[in-house]
Amino acid sequence: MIEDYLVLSVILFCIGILGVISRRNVFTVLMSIELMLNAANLAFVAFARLNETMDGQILAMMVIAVAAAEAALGLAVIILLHRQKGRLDSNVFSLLKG
Amino acid sequence: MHDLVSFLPLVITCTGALLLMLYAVCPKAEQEKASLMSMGFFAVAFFAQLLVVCTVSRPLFPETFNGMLGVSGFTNAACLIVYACGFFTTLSSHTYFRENHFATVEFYSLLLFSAVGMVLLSMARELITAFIALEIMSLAIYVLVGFNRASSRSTEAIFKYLILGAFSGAFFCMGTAMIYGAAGSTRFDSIAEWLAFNPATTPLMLGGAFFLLITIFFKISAFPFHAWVLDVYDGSSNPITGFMATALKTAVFAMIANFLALSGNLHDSWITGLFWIAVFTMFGGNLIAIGQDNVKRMIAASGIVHSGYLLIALVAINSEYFSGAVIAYYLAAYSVATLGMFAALSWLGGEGEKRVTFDDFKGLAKRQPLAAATIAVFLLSMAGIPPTAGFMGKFYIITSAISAGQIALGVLGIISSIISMWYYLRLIVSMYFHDAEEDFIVDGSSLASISTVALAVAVFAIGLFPLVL
Amino acid sequence: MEHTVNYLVCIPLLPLAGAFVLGMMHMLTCKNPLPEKLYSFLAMLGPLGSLIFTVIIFSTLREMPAESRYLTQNMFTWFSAGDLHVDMGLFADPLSTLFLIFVTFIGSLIHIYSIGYMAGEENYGKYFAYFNLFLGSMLILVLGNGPVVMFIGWEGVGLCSYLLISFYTKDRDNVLAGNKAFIVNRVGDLGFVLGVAVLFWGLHSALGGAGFDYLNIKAGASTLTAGTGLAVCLLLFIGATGKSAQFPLYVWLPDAMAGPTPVSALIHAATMVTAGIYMVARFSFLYASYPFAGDVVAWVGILTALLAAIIGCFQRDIKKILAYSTVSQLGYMFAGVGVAAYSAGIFHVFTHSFFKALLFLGAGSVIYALHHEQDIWKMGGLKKKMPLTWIVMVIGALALAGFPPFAGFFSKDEILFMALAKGHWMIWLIGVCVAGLTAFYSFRLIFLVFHGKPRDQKSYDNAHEPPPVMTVPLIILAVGATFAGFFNLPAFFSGDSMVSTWLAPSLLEHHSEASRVTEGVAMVLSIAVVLLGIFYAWKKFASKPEDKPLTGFAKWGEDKFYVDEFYNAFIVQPWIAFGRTISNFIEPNIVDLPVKGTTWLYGVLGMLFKVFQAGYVRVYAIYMVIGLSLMSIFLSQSL
Repeated sequence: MIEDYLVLSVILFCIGILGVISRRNVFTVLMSIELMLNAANLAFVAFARLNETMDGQILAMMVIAVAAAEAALGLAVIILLHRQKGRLDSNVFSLLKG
Repeated sequence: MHDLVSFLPLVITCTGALLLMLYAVCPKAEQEKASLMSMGFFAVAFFAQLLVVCTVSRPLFPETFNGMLGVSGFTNAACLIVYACGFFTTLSSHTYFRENHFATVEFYSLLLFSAVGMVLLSMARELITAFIALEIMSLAIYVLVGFNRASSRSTEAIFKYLILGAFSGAFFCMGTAMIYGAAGSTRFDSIAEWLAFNPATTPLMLGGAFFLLITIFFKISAFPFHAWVLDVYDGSSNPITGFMATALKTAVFAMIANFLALSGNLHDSWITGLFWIAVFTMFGGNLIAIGQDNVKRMIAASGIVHSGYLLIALVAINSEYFSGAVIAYYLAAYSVATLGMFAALSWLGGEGEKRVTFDDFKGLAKRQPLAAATIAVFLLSMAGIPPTAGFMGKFYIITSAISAGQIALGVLGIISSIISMWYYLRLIVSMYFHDAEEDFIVDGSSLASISTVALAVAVFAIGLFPLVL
Repeated sequence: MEHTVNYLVCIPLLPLAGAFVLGMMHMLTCKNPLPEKLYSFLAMLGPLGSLIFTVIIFSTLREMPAESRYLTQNMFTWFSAGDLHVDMGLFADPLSTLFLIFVTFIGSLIHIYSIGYMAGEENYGKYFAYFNLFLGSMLILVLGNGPVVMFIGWEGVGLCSYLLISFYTKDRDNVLAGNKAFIVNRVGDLGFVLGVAVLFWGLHSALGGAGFDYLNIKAGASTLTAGTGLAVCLLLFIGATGKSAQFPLYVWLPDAMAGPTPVSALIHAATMVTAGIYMVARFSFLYASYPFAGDVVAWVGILTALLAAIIGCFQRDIKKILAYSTVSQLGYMFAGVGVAAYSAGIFHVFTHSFFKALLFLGAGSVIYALHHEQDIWKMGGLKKKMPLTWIVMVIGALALAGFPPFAGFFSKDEILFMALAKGHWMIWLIGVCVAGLTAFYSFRLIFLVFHGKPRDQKSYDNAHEPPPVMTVPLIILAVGATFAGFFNLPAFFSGDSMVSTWLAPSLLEHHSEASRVTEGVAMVLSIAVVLLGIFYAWKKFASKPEDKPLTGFAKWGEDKFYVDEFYNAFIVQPWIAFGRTISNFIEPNIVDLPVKGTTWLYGVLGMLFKVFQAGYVRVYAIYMVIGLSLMSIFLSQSL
């Protein structure tokens, strides 16, 4: 029973990783990262249930809060990026290299 | 009561950040005044911390905030370094923003906030606290990196840093979850307790710790998680680059050293891995630095190499001999030199950072002998030439590696530091053995020049009196 | 009895501090120098302060019982590795105190003289900084508590001699002379270092981690095997031949004349060249046990004395003559310490320092008066113009020649008599001949410079006595050169051999008794030879000297027996050729190739890594994932 949650969590996490490295749209990349964080949340909650403590639930809330802050900043950056190049393809932003 | 006293510096910084945030709303707010105010906050926090270090000797670990935060000697040293870095960064910023006009009051507020995050991180005794502190620090730094909204380089830097930082942050979160699953707690002492009775090679525990380390490696730019560092340093403003390179690294190292030191037998299963990471970080960083033409990118790459040296010290941590003092000393030595470099770059960089490549500094010694001499001092310290602080730092690290039985690592560290002469001396050659092509007219009475000279003196002071720390 | 004091360090420290302050001042203000008075005032503080402390130490030592008469000061442990434990410590016993007395006293006088001599010169501050450093190094050499600390001073005086000999850097010859002095000294230093190393190797089990200083070495010296002990003695003596200008390493000293004249006085009288004698006397407990080593020292000394005296007879340069006389007198000293008459040798060092300083400073006055003319054949008749200088120079020459009752007589005669008394009659015979030659060349100098008719009318007209700051030291030294000999009046003149008695606790020597009659005869004979030498010089040079080109043996003598040329052809040139071969063929082709290859490789790798920094955020994330995967594979191994 609990393993199923964990397997789901790992699958979500892997989808997130794949999203980050394979998608070029900045929005999608950001959402993939959110997916990874949510996978972690799922694991927290599952483990809380397994250990029969409340810590995990609270930790998950904390992570959600942090993720929200990160998402807010991410969106602001996306707006900035869009203003500058008019596109959200991450490969466009390769001025700094070498 | 003592508990709160030891958090006094943190409270001061936090209050400073909030006050500046409020001041920003005030219609007459000026960024020059804000910079002076934040200088004051950093200075007061530094001295308060010094006072705490000198007066409070009782270890606070179990009592404070239900064991979420703790103060150790190593944490204290890290906090001192962070406050000092903040102070000198503000000095450099003050000068930098005379020629680059994009600062607002919030800049300094964010600087203080990131310092709060760093201090919390170095005090963290619990993984989620560490995560939150990490994010406080990172979010503030992201904004500081991208503060120049008009510049596409700056925007690109924040974009890369944000995406990769959040990506690595997710690993931290996942790692915490796995450790929580294994040990039933996220507090360091509980984890240590659990590890004392259970094998460290439980898949969940090992995997969780592995994910945590991934994030740490990312933050300290260990190979192969280093790629962002050149672009981000390159794209952000000089003072912020200096701050990131020094204070951030210090705080992260404080956190990881606390974690590894507490969980002794977890560390044992990591030594071989850390060994290779350290080796690759040193040599990879060196090879990247050799190819650079831009001084900022070169220093970014050399920062990778220095992380490699610090990883040597982490490898050398073992149960009998905790090399925390060695790490703190090396961090102080490295911070002084790097901050000095960026203070000098802020001082000499000119409008829009027009002087950044090796060629731009040709003949500096003929026009600005003092600046050239201080830059040479910083470079020599980074290269580890006696009697600078950098030499003593490397010396301690390599000695600790050898005394922990890692002779191969010590030898490789020495070889790497020989290779690193290549790019450090290249800038010195450029400054001293070429004719000047321009006048290097800069504002001579700036605060950055004072901080440059003060840091150059500090390089020798730390190098000559290693026992102070 | 309390042997530990805390003021010994002040003696070397004061001149060293002076050197530091003067050096910093000079460096910071070299473009617009400070007034000379300030420099000279500061320069005087160190030597005079050291002199005062020396007097204090002397009086403290006098209070002590003779058999345990020494003071020490340990500042810190310099280094400690295995059995080798070296403290940075100082050690003053009667021997070193005697050296301290004349080094500080004569050193101070030469400082005062320099104030006048160097007035108006460029780099005035630098000169005094070096001077103070020279004195400080010599004091460390004398006061060091062991051979290792002594070596600091040993190298320090070598360095300072190099700096001061090539002080007038504008002339290439001066720089070359400085180089020569330094390099020849290095050859000797190698011997010294090897000697100390062998000494430690032989003693290390006896020391057992105790401090490597004279007291412990002396205590353990009996455990040395015969071969080791002899090797130590001979190696140390090589060091001494370098520093004290003995055959075959004497060649640097005559060239050292390139520096300002007070420097020559300092090198010849108070510092540097006496270091070798001091070292041999310091290790007298070793040399006394190995008569063969002593014989080598004595023979090298006396032959050097002969060689230098012959060369000295044919030189034209006033300073070169004095330089060869120094080499020759040093030979006497080595002959003295070689035949185990240590106190006689040391006493000759003491008297020699007075009259040699006097002669050099007198010569300096002449050179100063004649605007840097040094050829004695271009002088003459200066007696009328410079009566004071004439008087002091005559006193100096008499002392040098060893005419009673001047200082040189007693000390030289003591050496010769001791050689005879100990059965070295060949050494005695050569010594007497050298005495005659010495008398000849010193009065040749006096007659040519001060008597007869002026040979260069123009410079003669401009000549004048130097200012009082220069003449006062001359007068003091003249008094010293006259009376210094009486400090060690031998029993023959119903004296009490004060200096020998004072030195007795430091040295290990056996006084041989010979009959009063022998002593008297030997003395009369040497006085007669001296008078003969003076008479011959008077006859040849006093009234109508002829400056005709020399031929035959004399020509050889004037050209210094081609020793320099020999060294150049057989040592220096082959060495240079060897160096050229290395630098032209071996270095670029064999040594540099791997280095250049490596740098090229790094350059290429650097370029390669630049390509990996592609600039795409996605690629960076992929790197991270690759790293993560590799690490996971590694991790799964440990599960």
